[in-house]
Amino acid sequence: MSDPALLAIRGLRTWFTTRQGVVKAVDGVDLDVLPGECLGVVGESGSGKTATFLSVLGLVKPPGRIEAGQIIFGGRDLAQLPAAELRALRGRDIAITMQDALTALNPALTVGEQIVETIRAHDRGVAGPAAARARAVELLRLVGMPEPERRLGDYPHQFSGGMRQRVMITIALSCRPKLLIADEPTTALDVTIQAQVLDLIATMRRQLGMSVVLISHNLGVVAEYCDRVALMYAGQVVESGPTRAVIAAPRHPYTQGLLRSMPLLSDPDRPIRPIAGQVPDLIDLPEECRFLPRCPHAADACRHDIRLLPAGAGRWARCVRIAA
Amino acid sequence: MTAALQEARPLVAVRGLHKHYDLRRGLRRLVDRPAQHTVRALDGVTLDIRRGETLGVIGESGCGKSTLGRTVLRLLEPTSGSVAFDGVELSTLDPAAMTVMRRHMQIIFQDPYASLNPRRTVEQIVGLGIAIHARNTAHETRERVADMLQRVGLSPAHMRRYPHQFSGGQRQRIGIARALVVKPQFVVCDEPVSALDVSIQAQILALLAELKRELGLTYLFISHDLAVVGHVSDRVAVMYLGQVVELGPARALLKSPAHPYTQALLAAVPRVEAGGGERQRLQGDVPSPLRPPSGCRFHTRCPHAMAKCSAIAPTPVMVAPGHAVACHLHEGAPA
Repeated sequence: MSDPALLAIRGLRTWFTTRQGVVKAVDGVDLDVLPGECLGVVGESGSGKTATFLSVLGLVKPPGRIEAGQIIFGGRDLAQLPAAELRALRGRDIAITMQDALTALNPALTVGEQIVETIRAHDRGVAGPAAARARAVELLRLVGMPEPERRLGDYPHQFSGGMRQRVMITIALSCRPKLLIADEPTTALDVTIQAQVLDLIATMRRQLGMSVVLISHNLGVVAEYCDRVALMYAGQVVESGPTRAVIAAPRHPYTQGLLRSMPLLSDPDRPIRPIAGQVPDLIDLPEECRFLPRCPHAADACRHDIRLLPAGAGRWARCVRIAA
Repeated sequence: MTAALQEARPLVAVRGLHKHYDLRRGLRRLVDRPAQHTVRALDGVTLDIRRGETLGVIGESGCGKSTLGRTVLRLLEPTSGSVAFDGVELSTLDPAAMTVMRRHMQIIFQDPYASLNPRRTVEQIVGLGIAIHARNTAHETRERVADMLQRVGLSPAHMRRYPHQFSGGQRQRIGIARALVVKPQFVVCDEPVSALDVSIQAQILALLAELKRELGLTYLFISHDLAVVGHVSDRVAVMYLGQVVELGPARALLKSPAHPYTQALLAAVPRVEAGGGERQRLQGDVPSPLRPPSGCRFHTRCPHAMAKCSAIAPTPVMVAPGHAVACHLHEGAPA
């Protein structure tokens, strides 16, 4: 984990206290986002990928709580920041787009009102409503919205899924953030529309020089669009490194299993091998490797708390076999 | 799609199948003209499903692939056209005869959360089909349910539990057990793994393949995931706005797609195995099925569109043995 990172997450624990027990949704996450890079965060449902970045933004709601760890951004620890300062930072320095644009956007306000609201909340340089409106039109044109002036007056339900995702990206980019967190931006979209939206995010990243965290369950999406990848499993990062290198030679048995269980379009006859078993219950997890019950290489040495270990050339893996 | 694709005795023969939805309500039916208010979910689909094969169906939301699966099973009544199962024309069957026929044709649904009755135990859910289709004693029914649960990787001890006590992957196993317990010949798999995580998806795909081998099943496998369809299918049909635009052997179709839509669809899939880079992109959204484009329906987004594409609907031609495509670019191609 090299300096100087734009965002450095260290030992983050975000737990949810429920009647059944404490759900350790994020349990010791170490992660860097470098300036200008696109980092892919991959994991299955419940792996903690969304909870990690909601923690970064201070958007974890009770009963969830950041129990431990640091979130260093711009020299400050966001985990310790007062709510008012976090609020000023959200949207201006770090922005997020949600998976489901239809529920994330306000159905009772026009798209124009929602974009203008964000611009005026953060950007004191924009004088009045007219200037903010002009900026909104310019931004919508930038994200490839046809007839932006006319569409400012439309409500979210009047847009297609792909166009709604563009509206969310517009709102997220309206204050030129340094970091965009895109949480499953294309999961609800068809494959041809998915490609349009991902191309748009890649173009905007280059134009604005920002960093992007692309949260996805789809390793293919991350392989095509991200410089680096971090794989999460049961609340922890189990492997990270340059995307190409990780996919070509995965070091963690979970990453290996995930790649073997995916059918490949270019090689339909390749047998797929499922990972046996299921993701562990996040309540009452023992202090040992979380992948142990499903791992083909399970051994006694795995029955300890395993740390993320350096695995060469900017790579890290949470597996005892790395040290050996 | 064409006469050449129709073999002597397919298990399922679909001919000119239409399913239209009239969106006019109440008195609007008297006032509005039907043409502008009709969704043509299926608009003339002809294909065969061969005994023992897996026919994959791919296409984007709203292309009619799920409607096809349901209309083939007569869970939806077709507007016109015919479906023959093992030589029997389904539209001629009265409800009692159709119930008997349903033992041979079953469906596995996409959403393992919504498709299982939350107030029934696993034994009741899986056993219901046996109760309808066979005159078994309670003891025999229980044995068959227990046997089926073991076959799908669950335990007979699960029989008394309710769906909410299971994970998504386990629920999909219950859905599979429910479909297969009556020993069908033909199963429509409607996005059976789309709601599941990748590692669980692979478990369910492996299970479906194993059961197909053991029980000699025929699948109509509907999915928006091209890699999944390519992996499981013998042949693939590509749908766009209610029509089949290309149908052929899975390997050949994925390796050298003939229709510009299939080409664009394949180009858009992000792959772990290939490096990034600029690729062909489709512009715009899928047009509304309420107002499908004239001529070839894909001409509004097609990079190769010619003058006649907006005027004349292409008829399917064979580009290779068993590989048909409906596109003006291929007219006059050697069959």
